[in-house]
Amino acid sequence: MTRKELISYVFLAAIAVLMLVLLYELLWPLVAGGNSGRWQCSPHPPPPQLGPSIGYITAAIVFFAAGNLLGLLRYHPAADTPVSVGKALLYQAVITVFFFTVALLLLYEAIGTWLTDVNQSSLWWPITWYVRCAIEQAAWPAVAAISGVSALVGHWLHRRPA
Amino acid sequence: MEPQVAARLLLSIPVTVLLAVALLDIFLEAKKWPSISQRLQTWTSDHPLLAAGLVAVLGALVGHFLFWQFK
Repeated sequence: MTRKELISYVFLAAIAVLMLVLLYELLWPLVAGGNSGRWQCSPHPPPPQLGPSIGYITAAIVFFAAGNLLGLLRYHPAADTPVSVGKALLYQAVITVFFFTVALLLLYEAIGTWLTDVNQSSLWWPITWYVRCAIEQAAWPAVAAISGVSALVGHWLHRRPA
Repeated sequence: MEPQVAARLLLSIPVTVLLAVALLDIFLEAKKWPSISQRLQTWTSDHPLLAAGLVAVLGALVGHFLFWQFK
């Protein structure tokens, strides 16, 4: 195994483990206790303070850049040749599912924003409130999630090496 | 549904998708196939404006969720 491959495996495995841990943190309290765990979300949660905001944004930028650099490292010029129909379908399916999920989440955000605007006591909240609640209740897992998501998106959107 | 339960369920959706993508990328690396990023990068080369729009949306979302706001 080359050094390049090793770095790729370590990066991807770290992202996978991070996502597994986050899933466990998110879902286990629901499965085990039948309740919502320790989180106490209140309506209209305020955005983070300026200092932590800068920290979160900085973490997102740093990990976006790290993922981007790894994208350059993993680049295989020889693999730029056209792929078979089967492989192309696999890639298309993955990318389509990813963007479809993003679109659904944005739709939910729009509906939640609208419903809470119409009825203050609506239980359908915009995702923004959930994210702010998660940041407030579990800051470090939230930072880990921000970093992981940014790294993966940065990894996906790397530029073609000269 | 209680908001804190909805929060956990909703936030687990993108985490699950990203977990699946990371695992698939490991599989692609093992098979020596082009990574998803390389495939997507070909798309961004062909459609730079759409890619810029995508990054703008993601950046706006991160800022919207995480950034302090003026009162």
